[in-house]
Amino acid sequence: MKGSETVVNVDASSPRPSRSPRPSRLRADGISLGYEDVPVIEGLDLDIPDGQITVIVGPNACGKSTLLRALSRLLKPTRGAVLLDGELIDRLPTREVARRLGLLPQSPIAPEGILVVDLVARGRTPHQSLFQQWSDEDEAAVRTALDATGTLELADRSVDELSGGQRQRVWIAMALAQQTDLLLLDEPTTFLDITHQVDVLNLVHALHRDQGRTVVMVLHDLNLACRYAHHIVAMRDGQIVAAGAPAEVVDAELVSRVFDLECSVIDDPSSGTPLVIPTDTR
Amino acid sequence: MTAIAPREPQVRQRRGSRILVVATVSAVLLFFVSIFVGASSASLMDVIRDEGVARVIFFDSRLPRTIAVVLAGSSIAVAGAIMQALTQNRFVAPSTAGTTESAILGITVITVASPGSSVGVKMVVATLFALAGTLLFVSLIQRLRSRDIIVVPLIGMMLGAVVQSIAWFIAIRNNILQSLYAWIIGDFSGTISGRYELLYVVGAVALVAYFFADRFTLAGVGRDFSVNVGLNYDRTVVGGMVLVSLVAGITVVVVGTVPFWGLIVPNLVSLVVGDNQRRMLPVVAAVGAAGLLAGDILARTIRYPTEIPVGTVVGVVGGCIFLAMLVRSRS
Repeated sequence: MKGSETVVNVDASSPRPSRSPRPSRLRADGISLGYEDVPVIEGLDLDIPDGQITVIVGPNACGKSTLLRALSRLLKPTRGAVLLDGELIDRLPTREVARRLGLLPQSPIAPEGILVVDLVARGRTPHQSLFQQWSDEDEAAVRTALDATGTLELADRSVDELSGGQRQRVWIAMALAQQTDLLLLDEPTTFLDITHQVDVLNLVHALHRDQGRTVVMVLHDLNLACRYAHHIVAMRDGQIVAAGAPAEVVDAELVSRVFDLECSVIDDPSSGTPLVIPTDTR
Repeated sequence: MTAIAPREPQVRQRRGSRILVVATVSAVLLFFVSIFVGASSASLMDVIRDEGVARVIFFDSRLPRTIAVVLAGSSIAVAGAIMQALTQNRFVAPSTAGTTESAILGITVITVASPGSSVGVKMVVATLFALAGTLLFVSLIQRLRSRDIIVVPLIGMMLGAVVQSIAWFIAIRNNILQSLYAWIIGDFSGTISGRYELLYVVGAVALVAYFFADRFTLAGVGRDFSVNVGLNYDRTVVGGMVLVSLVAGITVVVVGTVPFWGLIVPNLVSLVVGDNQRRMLPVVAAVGAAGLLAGDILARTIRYPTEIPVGTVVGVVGGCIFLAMLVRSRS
């Protein structure tokens, strides 16, 4: 796997891994994050490998979502910098960022009574101007996004009346309609049953495979994370504990360090990726 | 291939344009009725022949009054629609967010502090107070964990009550209760040429709002959502509130309060047309104009030849509609 040389350097004693000739499009450089003086993350470095799927895992409240918010300029670091294409992300016009990077936040709220097609069309906002409000390109992008997420037949329904799974797919469609090279997804599988979880992750995988998009997502299910990630980032207490290809970094020791969970790690019989089996402690 | 987005269902689209036509035609008809209704007779022939005071009444009183009603009726309704989009709450309007009351406090303060100031100065002060009050309301509801559809306007109305009490206090202390009544109860009887022209500004404000309609809807969804699609959230919210405050400040100075207008018109329109702001705003403006023209004609004819303030007429009718809406939303 190509991205493993762009592993994040977490251990201060080891030399910094050599960077690929072109630095990643999205990087965090020594960022500290917090809410109202409560620090959540301090001095974190992260490189998001281009054209790959990066999955961030970690226990609740370890700073995953906070990190994602910072990477998408919704939260300004108190120290350090987030760089998009080598430029400070807060310095770039927000519209310009929105053409390159899209975020699907955790449990987003839709405007009351909005139709699916209208919500998805909002994803086109950064590509529109005050006077040029709807183009054929917008039309095509929305149609493609609806089609890719299997929500085309829901287009005329109101978002309020959809099931949790349908709604999540509609939100993903909106993020897709934005047509950004970088896509950040905060727990895109929450509230979904296992079938829909797999559907959504297959869709994400297809985005990477067919369009070469860079995806960063937060997932709770470690096994699905191992299956879909090229690059996994394990966090605890605002620190990156390990990062790299799942097969290289996910083992019983890591799970114990990150989640305080005793387990064994075997090969997933279906995908060959690491499969975490919690030890029966009854 | 038909367009897929953005659009409302065909039925709503058709209903929307039909309503726009009906409302516009009604507004035009009512406009002419309004011109020729009043205590003294000024028929079209009299005006043309220039008999008696007909022409004076027509150009100095009737026409200005009718134009003022159209401008106020449409822009207050549009201001309400903007606030509802920005707060994602259909019960929020200038009169349920402390905006109107703050404008009243503003004009009370400037009248006491500097009685001789021009209408323009009063308007600026009223607008600034309205803006401060509205931003206070916004920061209050942002602190609120619950975004309950009833709790939010309730807080706005409590804020409005507190602000208006301060205005009462100042007015009583300074013997300007009479003026305060005029600002609280909307009335077009004092609208004569030379005293209503500021309302053209609110007409322009409503026009500006139309171009930014989609952005207000986006900002209403929330900061993260709107920043993520490349919208400057703070600028949009403050910009929207400035537009609303201008409408509130100017209309209070010129005609006084038209209660519930910013609330009922957009709500009734959205029932039929849906929530797409860009499609909805022209209809809101047309219905707002036609409705207030009807209200003002009613106010002039119900106790002919004397008239009652339009604010009272709208308050009674609007209050009933508001109650009905509240009950409907909870059942």
